[in-house]
Amino acid sequence: MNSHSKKSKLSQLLQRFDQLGIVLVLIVLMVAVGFKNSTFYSWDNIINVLRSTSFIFIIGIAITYVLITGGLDLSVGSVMAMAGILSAMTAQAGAPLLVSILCGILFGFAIGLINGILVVRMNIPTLIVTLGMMYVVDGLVLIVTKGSPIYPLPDSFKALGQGSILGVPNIVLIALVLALIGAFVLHNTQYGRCVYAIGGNRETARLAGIHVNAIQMSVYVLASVSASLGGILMAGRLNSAQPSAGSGYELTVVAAVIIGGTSMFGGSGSIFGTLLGALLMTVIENALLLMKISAYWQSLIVGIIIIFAVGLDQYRRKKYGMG
Amino acid sequence: MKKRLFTLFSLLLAAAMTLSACSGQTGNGSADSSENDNTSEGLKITFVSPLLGNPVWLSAKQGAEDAAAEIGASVTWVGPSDIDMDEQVRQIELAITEKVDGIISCPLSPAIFETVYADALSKDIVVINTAVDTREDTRTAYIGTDYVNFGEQAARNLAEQLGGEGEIAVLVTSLDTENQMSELKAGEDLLAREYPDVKIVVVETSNSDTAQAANKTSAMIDTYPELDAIWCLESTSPLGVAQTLQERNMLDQILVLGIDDTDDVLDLIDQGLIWGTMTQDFYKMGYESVKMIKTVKDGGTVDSVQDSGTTLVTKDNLEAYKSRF
Repeated sequence: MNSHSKKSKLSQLLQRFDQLGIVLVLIVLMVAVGFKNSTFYSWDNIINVLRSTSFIFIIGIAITYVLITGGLDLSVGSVMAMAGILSAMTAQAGAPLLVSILCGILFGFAIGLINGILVVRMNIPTLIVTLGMMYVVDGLVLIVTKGSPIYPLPDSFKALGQGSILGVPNIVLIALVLALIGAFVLHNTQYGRCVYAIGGNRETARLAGIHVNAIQMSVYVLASVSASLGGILMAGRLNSAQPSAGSGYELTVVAAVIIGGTSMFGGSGSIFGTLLGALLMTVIENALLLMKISAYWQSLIVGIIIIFAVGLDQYRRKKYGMG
Repeated sequence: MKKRLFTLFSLLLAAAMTLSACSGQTGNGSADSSENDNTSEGLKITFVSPLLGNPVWLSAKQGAEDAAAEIGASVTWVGPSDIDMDEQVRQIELAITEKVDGIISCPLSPAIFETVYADALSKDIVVINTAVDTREDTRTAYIGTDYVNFGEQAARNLAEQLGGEGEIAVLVTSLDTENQMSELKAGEDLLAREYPDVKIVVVETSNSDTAQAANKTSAMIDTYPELDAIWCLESTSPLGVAQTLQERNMLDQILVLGIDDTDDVLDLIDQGLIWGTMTQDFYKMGYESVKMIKTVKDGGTVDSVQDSGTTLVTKDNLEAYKSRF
């Protein structure tokens, strides 16, 4: 193989790489911050970045499924808080760790199911259903906690959120395992293909014999269960379940998924893209602090970097006709 | 199927409304009303909290309710579940429509509240600010921590504990939270005047989110390796800061000064995870606000500004502080 054909293959590969813009921005950012402050590459900082990314990413995996079907879920932040609170309360009451985790997860399952039923069976717009559910669960959080955090938590609960294996926090390892499962199911199974098909064209998918309603409902359940898991892990990490936990997470997660290339209108997206989106958001925040950028300037710079990274990918897609 | 679902939801809605009525909640889910049994003729007061999900405001609520019980008034407790000043303004507008006798609130960004306050005053409604003040001519009275006094005392306590030399990082809710920024400025000015070798090297935001405070602490430690202290100007941060310092094995290297006397902050002091906290008397703010409304409505006058005071609580005086009631 001569160098010309090698170059052309590389060029084709790069053209097909949907998130090249984000990767380039991430690399430039990481090199720049590394020059300015080498502690960016310290183990402690890398763990800090990966842990923050993992909380966004765990929920982002499921939200990728939701967005690919053409849906949206704004209730995940509230579900995160409530699931953490329920699990923490049951753990405080002396329930075994597994039972307290199950309580939070079951809550998420129930909320996801209700979201799914309202969207699929009653045809209420997904934005309205999940926005309404966000308020409902926010209300539940306040009714149950009266605004006070659930604190302190049993050691077994803390170990879940604060523990690590070979120096890598549990939350990062859990995110990794879920990413592998999420990516495999989405790209290599019948279920994953159905998720894409529904987002591409719901009616065609139905005519092709896909159980559209069941699959749509299942992605809302996935989203709420993931949010519950995130909330439980966060409570363990902070040794307290905070009523304000997850506040604003719904927008952060949806932003990470869209930045990662998942279409807001359904039909396309990937778990790898979501990982890059979540990583970009966390790295920007961390980098600006390490580069000693004043807090007054940070929001402005975050916005510019995100628009630039996504704009770069959009430009490439247009230029190379990638849809 | 759809008919059955509608029936189910109607039943659920009815059940929720019944439950909320039984537990003293009003319909919007963000309100709580307490009323003395013999108050049909009593004063109607609305307390518009800036953040329902924050324990310090529950102390203020308790204070307001205790005072209301003493004078036979009713206090309706409302507010947003996240920081949302527009929602606060809407709740104040609603209270004006309901023709209440007095409104108690905390105008986090004062300018936003001035128009609606003017409307309330023009309708003979007493307006009391707590914790954060607006211009003197826009409200009836203010009770809360004196920002300058608070900021100076906190900065002095930190500087003296550091031995007159060191680097401090500060965590605030957001850069437009006026009371915290005023306290910070007062602290900075004092350090420049009296402790020139104590420097505030970074100010970061936590959005009143413990997880964000934990993440920012980790990054601040990496960015400023000579850091000696972290000064938290909002009450959900100390837990996140302590968590990170514990994870990084740096509890004995960095001094942490928190704010307020929530259970978790006092526990952190008790366990030696943070050095101390600057308490604000939110109970007194709520209690005195109601009493001031009563005085004004009875034709009396009240001081335009009242300082509710502040105390440094460390392990040395923790037990005495806890048993002060």
